[in-house]
Amino acid sequence: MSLTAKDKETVKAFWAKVAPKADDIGQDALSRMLVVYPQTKTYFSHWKDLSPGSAPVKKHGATVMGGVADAVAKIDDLTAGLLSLSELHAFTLRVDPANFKILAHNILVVCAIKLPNDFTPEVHVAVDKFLGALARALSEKYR
Amino acid sequence: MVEWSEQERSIITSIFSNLDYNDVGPKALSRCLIVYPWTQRYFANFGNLYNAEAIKTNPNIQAHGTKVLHGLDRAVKNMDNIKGTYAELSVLHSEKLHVDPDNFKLLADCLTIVIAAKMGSGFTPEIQATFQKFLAVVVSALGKQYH
Repeated sequence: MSLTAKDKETVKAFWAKVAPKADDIGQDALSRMLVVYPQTKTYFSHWKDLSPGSAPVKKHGATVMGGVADAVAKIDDLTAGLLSLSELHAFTLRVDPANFKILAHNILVVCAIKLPNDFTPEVHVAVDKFLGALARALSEKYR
Repeated sequence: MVEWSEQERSIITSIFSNLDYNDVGPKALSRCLIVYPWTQRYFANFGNLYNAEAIKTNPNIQAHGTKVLHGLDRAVKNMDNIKGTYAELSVLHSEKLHVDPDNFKLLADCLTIVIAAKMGSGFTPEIQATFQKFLAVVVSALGKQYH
């Protein structure tokens, strides 16, 4: 299920619309993940406040979306482009890769909420494929 | 036994009482067939599913989407025994329709996204959690009778 040229075009075009709301989307997606999938809170025991919209959640949401935007720019070779991020997740953060799917789902939900007219089924499938490819690139260095 | 708080019950009944079944049902089903194209295997005799436009305008898919969404009504009315309520439907999906139960989650995810788009910021994290919990129970019940 690799990204076709059309998928990449679709993702880039959609992400141009995401960009101005990126921080907001990141914060909302992360907040939802922590509420809807409470097991994900185990990765953030060092935060004082895990509630939706809290300072650490806002900051981290922006960080994550910055990473996704970077991936969009490197969409032609995600494995090479995300090498150091993969090493970070594999050796330092050691996030179980199952969680990438969980966060991806919440990003999709927020895309539907914030951009309901742009997040058509055709865009949905391309973004879903892209987030899957991103997750695979991020898991590259795990073992 | 699945436990439901008063708040969770009222969230679910509220979502379904404000639902336009004829809009959300078709949207959820067609989104599922577009985003997860392998699910089209169950609709070989529904006519033209060659591209997203064809799927979105296919009258058989529209009718079926509405039907599937109304299928959730019984779960809403019997939240304390969704497993029992869906025993027959589970047998139907297994023995007659031969649907891979993994597909139930795919449709559930698409339904979540369609509802999120409709409700906008009203689809809060708490409401999302409750709705996903409800759908997870439905999905589990529908897979229960497979053997």
